Amino acid sequence: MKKITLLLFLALTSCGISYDGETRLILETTVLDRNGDFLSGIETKVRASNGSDDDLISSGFSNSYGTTFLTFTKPLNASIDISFSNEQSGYDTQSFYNINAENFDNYKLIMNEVVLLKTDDIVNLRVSFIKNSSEYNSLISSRIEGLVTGRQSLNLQDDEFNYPEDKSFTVAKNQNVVLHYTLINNDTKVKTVYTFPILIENESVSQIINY
Amino acid sequence: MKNSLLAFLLFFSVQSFSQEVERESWQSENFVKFDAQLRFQVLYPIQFGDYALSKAYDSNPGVGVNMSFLNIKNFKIGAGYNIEFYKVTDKQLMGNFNTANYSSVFGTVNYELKTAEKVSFYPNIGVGYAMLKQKAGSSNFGHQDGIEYRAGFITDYKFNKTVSLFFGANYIYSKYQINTAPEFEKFFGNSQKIQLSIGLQIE
Repeated sequence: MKKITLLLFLALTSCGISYDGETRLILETTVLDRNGDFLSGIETKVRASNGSDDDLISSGFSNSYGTTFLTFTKPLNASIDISFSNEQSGYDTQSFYNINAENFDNYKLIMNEVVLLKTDDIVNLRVSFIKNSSEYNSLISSRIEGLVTGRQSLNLQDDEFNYPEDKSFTVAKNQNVVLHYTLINNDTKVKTVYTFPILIENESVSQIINY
Repeated sequence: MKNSLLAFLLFFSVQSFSQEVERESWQSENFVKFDAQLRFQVLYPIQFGDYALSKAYDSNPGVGVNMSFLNIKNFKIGAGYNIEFYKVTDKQLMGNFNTANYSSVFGTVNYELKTAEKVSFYPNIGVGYAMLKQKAGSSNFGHQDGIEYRAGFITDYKFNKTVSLFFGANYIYSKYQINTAPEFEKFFGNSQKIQLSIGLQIE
């Protein structure tokens, strides 16, 4: 009886993700391969998640022009994650998380092109940030400009307190990428963005950044 | 001149007399009458046009209840509640929910035309509140509030003084609240249908 009461209580108090049925968001993007050719049959999934709950809110496949068009109702208490995958064709899944209202312009998600990379065409890039300077600086964000796959945040959020000093990125082979990272001076609170070019060849790369 | 005056007075007095007789007749026939007619109906909506409910859903039968409660001469004023059930056929266009329920609460005015001893024909118009609710199992994917305008007819066949069988058809145009890209506002914000109905009327 106690178990039933507990289950009833949990069922009644579980809120889940709520939606604004009167606001319809639109995702329209083109999926390409590394050579710029359209990729058809790529499955796109849109999920709403808030840490405790996760709903698949829209899904579909790209057409012969690589175009994916999906619509979905706006989640009210959750952020949006979008993934592009076709593992049977040997492409690595590309996903974007932490998408919020700022990423939409007139209810359309601003995401022009998504490039998928073959799993045999990617390597790991590990970046280790080592503090050497006597200045009172902290690392608060980093990102890679170039052909990157895997799971990425669409909104880079500065993390003043917990930013990891080791970051791994999945990148395409044989390219030049640019590392962007931001330091904050803890005395003046001034943020400075630095860039660092990295050559990627056929093997995984470990890069040390002293700051 | 005298003749003209006499003719005018005669005409006026005849007119007054006839209006008096008519007024008495209306009063005796209960010109305004509270008279309940209750209708239970099964509905089938046929959606059309370049709108979401037409392009991305399949229609299923719905149910409704409708009541006329006030007669003014041949006009019957009433209200009703309908609910229709839809299944999503294009998730890419609509999102990952399975079903939608369209419900409406409306007021109607019917005009009774007796066409035979047991048969009446009622043209009608109405307006009401509409709600389109989107669901996937027990999960609720939000709803749209709206307004519906309706025009159509019902015709009934009286088995006896209490029970009739009726059939109806209504054109219903609905407009919903929507916030989306301008090029999709009409698609997600409007619908139109022919709603067929059959049911029993009790009075």
